[in-house]
Amino acid sequence: MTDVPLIEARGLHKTFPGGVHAVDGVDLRLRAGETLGLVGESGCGKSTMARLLLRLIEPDEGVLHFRGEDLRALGATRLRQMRRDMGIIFQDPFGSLNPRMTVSQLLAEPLVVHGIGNRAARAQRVAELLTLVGLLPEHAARYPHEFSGGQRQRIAIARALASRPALLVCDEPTSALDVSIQAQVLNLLGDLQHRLALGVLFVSHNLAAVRHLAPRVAVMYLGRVVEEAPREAIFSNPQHPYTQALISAVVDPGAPPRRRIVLRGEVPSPANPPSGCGFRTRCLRAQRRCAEEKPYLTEQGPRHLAACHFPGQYTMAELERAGTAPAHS
Amino acid sequence: MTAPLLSVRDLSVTFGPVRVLEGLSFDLAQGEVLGVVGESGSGKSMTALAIMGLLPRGGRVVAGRAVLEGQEVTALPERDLQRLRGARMAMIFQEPMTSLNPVLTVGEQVAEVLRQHRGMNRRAAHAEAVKLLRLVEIPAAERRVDDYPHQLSGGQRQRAMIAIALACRPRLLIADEPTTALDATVQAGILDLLRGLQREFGMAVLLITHDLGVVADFADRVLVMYAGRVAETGPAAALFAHPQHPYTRALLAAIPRLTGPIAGLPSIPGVVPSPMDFPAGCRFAPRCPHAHLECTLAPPPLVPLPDGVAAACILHLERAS
Repeated sequence: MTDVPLIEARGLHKTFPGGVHAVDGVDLRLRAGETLGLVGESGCGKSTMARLLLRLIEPDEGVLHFRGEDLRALGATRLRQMRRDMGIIFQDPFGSLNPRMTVSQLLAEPLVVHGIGNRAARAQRVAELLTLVGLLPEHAARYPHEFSGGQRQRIAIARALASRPALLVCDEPTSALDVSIQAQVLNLLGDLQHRLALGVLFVSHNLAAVRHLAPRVAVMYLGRVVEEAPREAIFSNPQHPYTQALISAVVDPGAPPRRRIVLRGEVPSPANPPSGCGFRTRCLRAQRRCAEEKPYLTEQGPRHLAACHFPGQYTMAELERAGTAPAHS
Repeated sequence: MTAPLLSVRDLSVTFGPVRVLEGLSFDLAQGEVLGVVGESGSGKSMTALAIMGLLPRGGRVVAGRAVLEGQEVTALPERDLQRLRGARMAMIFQEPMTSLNPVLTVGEQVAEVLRQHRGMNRRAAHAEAVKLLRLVEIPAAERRVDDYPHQLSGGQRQRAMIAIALACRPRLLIADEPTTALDATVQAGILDLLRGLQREFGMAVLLITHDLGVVADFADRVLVMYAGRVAETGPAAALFAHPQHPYTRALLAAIPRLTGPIAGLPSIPGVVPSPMDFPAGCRFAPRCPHAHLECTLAPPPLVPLPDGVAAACILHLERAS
């Protein structure tokens, strides 16, 4: 089988100055045309992970392959060539578009950098890209400030797709947008993913948005992936206690209330993580073994991995013993 | 029925020639939680600031009034407002880091309110500050009281803000996006805390947020705003079960969910209009699937509907007549 993954990371580590262990041994695989959702709360390392995968920041340790090629071993020239196949969009479409460039310049720049096409071909590609993301070719002459937040995010997406990448990394792409605009951008991303057979890493703190776009989901906590599974499994049968708490914290307006698991305490500092399992300080189920032994991802079901010594859904008795808040009506 | 704690009538706010809030009316009963939801530019934060007398420079209440416990707060001079703020009405904001003073300890900031409004001396205020931090469930409050804001986590800072706001047991708490900057699991804890305190003190809460989940979780009643006007209002359960305004319906449909089928999200075409060019007539009309010519002629009034719901939509007006 010629099943070389689009991107493959094994044992990726990144420590920032000050001893902040942002990514602490993460494995991720993304096949061509596949979408993986990466969820977690602030400080869990998901954005660092997104940047590591593109080598926008350098990993300290670990294996990183893009289409079977060792990304970490590449020199600057080859890396720049490879970047043609990778795109990234960020949360704030204002901050990531140069306000002094017209849309046309913004969209053509990646083409110029990679030496794609002549001037006429690039102009045609710009028009094509604008149509692709639901804008009009006439918009090419305008500046970013002339657009709304949602339209700016469309421009950022068009720019990321200019060089026809195989991989698109989206870091909280809808978090700064209004609800009605968020839906437009999520639909657009889903549509593009299908039409262009893009590999997408969708990084977000919004579980519902991730569920919407990603058939496979990985949950991060304190620099590690604690659970990874097909979306049906992760949302209907989460095995890691943290995933369960995270899901229980989301309120669907109009839906019957869920039982909420309120976590005690705070996320520990990544500069000084607890021994053993990173989640044990907040876990209702923590035992001595959790402090002594780091749990690794193990199979809980078909393609369902969780890093927990005592996986499985909380029982009613456990929740009651912990005195967690009952469901609200 | 007893008089409402807060009564807002036909409130309009302008910035120069721009009218950001128009003809807003609602009541808030003692001990009630009213969720004000809307997207950016809906005027929800301006509503809060107008009631508190904290409109940014250039903002003016040009019509209508807000009455708190019989006192017209929108007509009070700054001196009197200062006496009310913190004592009878208090406010918490989205970003506790920018609303807390970075060079004062948390305890000093809680104590400041107590000394100002309750005339406590330094020692008594400090002791009360510890009690308040305990009330908002900050662990090791007696030590944390001497911490500076940057030494606390985001969730703890918001708890400290709540402690300051509640120091004088206000009758009205205005919470402007109180959990928007927080993680989901931290948000759940803050909402539980607010709910507990609200019930314990019988305090009314005006909860301002863009997050319909937060409103569904916490509010008794909901006010949906769009482009400076009320689109729909009603009891939370009824409104979320059977939204009556096309905007409310579209907004609820556009949210990705944790359950149910996964398909394309029914998104709302276009963008929220800027206050510089609010359309004539119904302001949602340019984005509304049901809009027709008449919608663009005059703003639709709020039409009372069953279950205590009211919606500002011509469809209901036609149906009623």
